[in-house]
Amino acid sequence: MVITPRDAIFVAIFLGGLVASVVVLVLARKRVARFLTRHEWTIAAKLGATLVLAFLLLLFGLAMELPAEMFIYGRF
Amino acid sequence: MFENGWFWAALLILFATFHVVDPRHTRVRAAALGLISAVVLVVVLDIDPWSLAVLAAAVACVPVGLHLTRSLAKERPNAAALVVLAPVLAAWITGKLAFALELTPARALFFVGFSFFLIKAWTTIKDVQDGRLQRPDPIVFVALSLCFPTYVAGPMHYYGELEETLRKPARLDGSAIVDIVFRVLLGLFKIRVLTPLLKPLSLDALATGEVAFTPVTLVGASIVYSAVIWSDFSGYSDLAIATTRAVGVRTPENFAWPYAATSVRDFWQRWHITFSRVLTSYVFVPVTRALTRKMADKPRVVMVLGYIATFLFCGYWHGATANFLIWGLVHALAFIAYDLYRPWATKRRLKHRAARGASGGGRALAIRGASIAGTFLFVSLAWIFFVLPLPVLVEKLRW
Repeated sequence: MVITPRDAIFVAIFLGGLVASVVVLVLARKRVARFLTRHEWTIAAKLGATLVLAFLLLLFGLAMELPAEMFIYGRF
Repeated sequence: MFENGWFWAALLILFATFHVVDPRHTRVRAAALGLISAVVLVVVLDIDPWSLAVLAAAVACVPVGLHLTRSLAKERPNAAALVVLAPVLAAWITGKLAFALELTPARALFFVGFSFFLIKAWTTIKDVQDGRLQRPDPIVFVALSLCFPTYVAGPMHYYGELEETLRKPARLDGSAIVDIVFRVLLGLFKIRVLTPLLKPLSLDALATGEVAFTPVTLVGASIVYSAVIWSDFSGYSDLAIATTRAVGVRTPENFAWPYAATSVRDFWQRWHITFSRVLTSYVFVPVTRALTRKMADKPRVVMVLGYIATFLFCGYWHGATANFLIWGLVHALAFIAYDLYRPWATKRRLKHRAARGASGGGRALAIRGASIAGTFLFVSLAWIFFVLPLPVLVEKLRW
């Protein structure tokens, strides 16, 4: 497996974004909690997680099933 | 199973059938579940005809046995339960042993899912003989035995649980649909992404020789294997729970954050829950009760023998080779040590609390963290016996 600087930047941005979102949610939890009930937040979180999982499964499936030569940046 | 198109087609047919048949007609619903499951097992699992005959005989054996031993059960319930279970147990022990030793004619006695069937049979028989269950319906028992989403890897229903959920199906509202879709994707993610990513770094890689065998890699690989086995097994449980829920059947949870356990006892209350509850109520309790009648004045000996018997069964249930028995024995010894340590630790904690007052939250947190880490390390190291065959381990340990 070859990890290019572009991959590393992408991963760093992704993780940074994730951490920033969590921090914002934790800091503003009292305001956020007012928008929806606890049950509704659970459903919203599951819907969000479903999208992320579907995305990851799709990417992993592509990575496993398609040859590496097809992954040329911008020309996939 | 879940990656086969026939599985999902069968689930759709079951969904339509359950939608049409009123829940009051429990037997019809059970018959549909049993019949569709039988077709799925033949088509998807490709069970050979001989094993299929053994499976059919084993399933039929329980209701017939319960009927025949009804008069004996009134006077000697335990003896009656053992009489009904004996043919199934004998076939399971022989078949499992023959399968492990690759003995050709006898290994046909063992079929995929036999160990799970044994548990379902034993719990049903014991429930009848103990009076918790009155005359189980043979059709519901067939559905319990063959229920296709949970057949290969659980979670395992008790007879009463399945009958109740067939009679009072779970409602399928918007929130349930979100939960089902999330659970299916979570299960697929664990099985198709997490497990294959971690497996090359786990004990499996040591067994195949892909990773060099040293003390450091052994410990590291056993820790990674903890993640692999949880991800794979709980992934299948997620899929089974979600797919049965889609047809209105509630399936009990099988995992509850097992690696957050603070002791080996806590671990077994969180790991493979539908099996460990059987170990407690249907193996450990009857064994210790029987032993207490003979040696009431030696409770510690009873406890030690009870744990050893329960976990030797647990080991054999997972595989009929020496390494599985050692794995079971290691857990039994941990239980014994924990039970001996617990009263002393409680006394010490109370003494400490009395001396310092109710404060000391930091210390409690540190103890909790250390307990979780210690339990995780113990469970991880014990997986070594679970994965590596004894001859391989003995050979490789001569560094």
